[in-house]
Amino acid sequence: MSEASSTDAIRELMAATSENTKKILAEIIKIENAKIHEGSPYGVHKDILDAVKRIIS
Amino acid sequence: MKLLSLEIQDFRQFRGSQRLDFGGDVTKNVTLIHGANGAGKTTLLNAFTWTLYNKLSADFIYPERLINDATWAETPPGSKARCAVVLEFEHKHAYYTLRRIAEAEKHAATSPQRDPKVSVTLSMRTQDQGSEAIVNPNDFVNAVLPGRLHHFFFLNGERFEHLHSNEAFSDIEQAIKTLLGVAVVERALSHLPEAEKRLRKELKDLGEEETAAIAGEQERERDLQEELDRDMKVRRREVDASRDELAAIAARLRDLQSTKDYQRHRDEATASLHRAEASIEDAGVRRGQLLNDRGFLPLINELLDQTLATYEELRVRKEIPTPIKAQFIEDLLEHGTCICGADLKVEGTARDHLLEWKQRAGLPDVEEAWSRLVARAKSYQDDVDRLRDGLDEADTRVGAARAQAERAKTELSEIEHLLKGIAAEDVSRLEDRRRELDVAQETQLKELGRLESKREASEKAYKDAENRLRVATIASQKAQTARSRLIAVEEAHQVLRTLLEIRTEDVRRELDERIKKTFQTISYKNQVPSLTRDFTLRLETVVDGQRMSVAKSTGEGQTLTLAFVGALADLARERYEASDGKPLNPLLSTTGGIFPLVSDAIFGTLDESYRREVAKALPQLAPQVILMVSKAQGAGVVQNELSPYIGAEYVIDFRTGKDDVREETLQLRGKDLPYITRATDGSDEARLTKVEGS
Repeated sequence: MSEASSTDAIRELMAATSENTKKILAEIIKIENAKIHEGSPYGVHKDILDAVKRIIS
Repeated sequence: MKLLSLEIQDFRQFRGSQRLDFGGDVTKNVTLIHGANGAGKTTLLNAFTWTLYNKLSADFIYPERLINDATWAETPPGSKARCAVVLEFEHKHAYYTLRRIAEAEKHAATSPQRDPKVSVTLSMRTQDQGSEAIVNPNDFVNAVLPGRLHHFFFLNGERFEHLHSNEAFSDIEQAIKTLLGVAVVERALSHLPEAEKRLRKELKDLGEEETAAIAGEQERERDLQEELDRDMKVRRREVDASRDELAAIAARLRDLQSTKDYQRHRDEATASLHRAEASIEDAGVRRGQLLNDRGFLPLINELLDQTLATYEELRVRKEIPTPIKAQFIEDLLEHGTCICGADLKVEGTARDHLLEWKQRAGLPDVEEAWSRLVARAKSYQDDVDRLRDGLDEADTRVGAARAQAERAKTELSEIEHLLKGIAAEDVSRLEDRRRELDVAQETQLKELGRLESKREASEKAYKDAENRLRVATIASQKAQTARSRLIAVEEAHQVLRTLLEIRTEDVRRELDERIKKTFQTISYKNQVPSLTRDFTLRLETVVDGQRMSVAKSTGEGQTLTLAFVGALADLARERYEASDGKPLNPLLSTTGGIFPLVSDAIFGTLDESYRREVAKALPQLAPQVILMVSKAQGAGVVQNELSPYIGAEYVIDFRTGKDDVREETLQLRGKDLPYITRATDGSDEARLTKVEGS
């Protein structure tokens, strides 16, 4: 798969994803980015759960 | 990361404070440090990894004795002694100072160094030339250059072998992903199952029977999948290990005088067997395609015959095509005059005749349908012939390939028999092991296939449950919300998994291409490296048109590792430059980085032709290259190839306490520089001398 076609594949994937899931994905990436810089892998699932509950309430 | 300087203070054989300033110029990016064996080259390499990661290599003897022996000896009892390494580097246009210190208390005059207290600080130079402390130095360093990559960017040339083993590459797979920006996605994937589990439990606890049952099913499938994933990983490693050992045995049999001809025949027969098996598989695929496209034709053969016979009957009776068209008669009736001049407006014989003709005239739609049907029936008859020919051809190919496979198997069996007849202990041991591995590999592959099928079935069962969950009747609002959350998280999980597959394959493919390119510039052998889907480096050669794994010699392993390091540094640099050092959307791209290559004894085990090619390739492998070499390693072709790129050059003057040692100098840039010197105080010590003009 070329760079261009993999980028296209990612775009298609995101286009087929529901809005709620996109919001959740954005939150997950934000949480993971913050944690990776803090160097802490613990308790991330709880932060993810909180974000999911905020988005789908 | 660009290394600026390294200052060592009372660290191992380097007494007092000594400093190296590195060449980092674009065109003169090489720093060369010459030193005799035992003078301190490995210590310098370890000084880098110790400062950056608090890691020392396995061959670094007496790791507890970091503080210079003479300094320790001079430390009065009850006092503390310390050593330090200070590394200055530039990262993203900012300047950093990383300082690691080991401090130990000396309890008595003869106390050895024990349990030193190690501390690390990192500061960033501010615009007003002050400094600002970085709170978590280890995490910062790991983010700039992941510690798990240190084996590759801080290379010990004499200990390369473990770097191209399967285990090493499985360990660094995660680090590569970190470096190239997919780590965030991977981490999310590792955390989502727990989040899903909690949401599933919430749904179950809400007590609605149908959804609780489905959530339970999903939980069981996920547990099973985790177990299967673990098992598959183990099996894959086993398969790789068997393949590597088989390649090593084949290489040994190719080397031994008594077996090399037999092994060559075996290589040819194996290649022939693989070709035959590939041909059987291709023919099977072709047969499948033919049956898929045209397999129904023999079943409708009778129908086709009947259709054509019926058409023929109609044609003979001149009912198809009819001589007079209905439209023509209708036009005459409308016009009111026949072509013979008879009046058709009035009732009479002429009009009656014409109406009778109209009854017999053909309908255009029916005629067109017949014409299409007949054309299709005839083409189907041709297709039946093509199907028969295609299947015959596939059968012939399969027959020939089977015969070829049988001949190859017979030949392999004869070779095995002949090798058994060789009395040498080494040969019979290798052959026994080879047979064992063959059997083991077959079992491992079958087991892997079984696990993969089971995994696939479990994923399907999970998906089925997910679909049922989506449509299950739910009474309470709370349960509906819980379901929506679970479904959304499952969807997010799937998106991230697909994303990771795409990005990982991207990275692997790019690295694979670059490794091939770099390897070809260094190696003169007809071998092709590849980075497999599980990030294992393989080296293959072409025997009789077939690619076969080869066991890597030290030189080849070293070349392969360098090609990998170069590819990694190159890709990371390219991505870093493309992103301008700023983080892009983490779902779509990566930031990469700029990495140096620091190596000790990189030319140590190579023959001259490899040394020349490696020396030629090194300045291009990384933006900054720091090499520690002995007099023998750095002389001749290495010096010639590297000299245009040397931005800084040092010699370690090894002052030895032994009085029977012959003093040596090293001639560089027209000057004789101390290389091995007899110390007057009887203790060993290393001093760095900068080569003037470098």
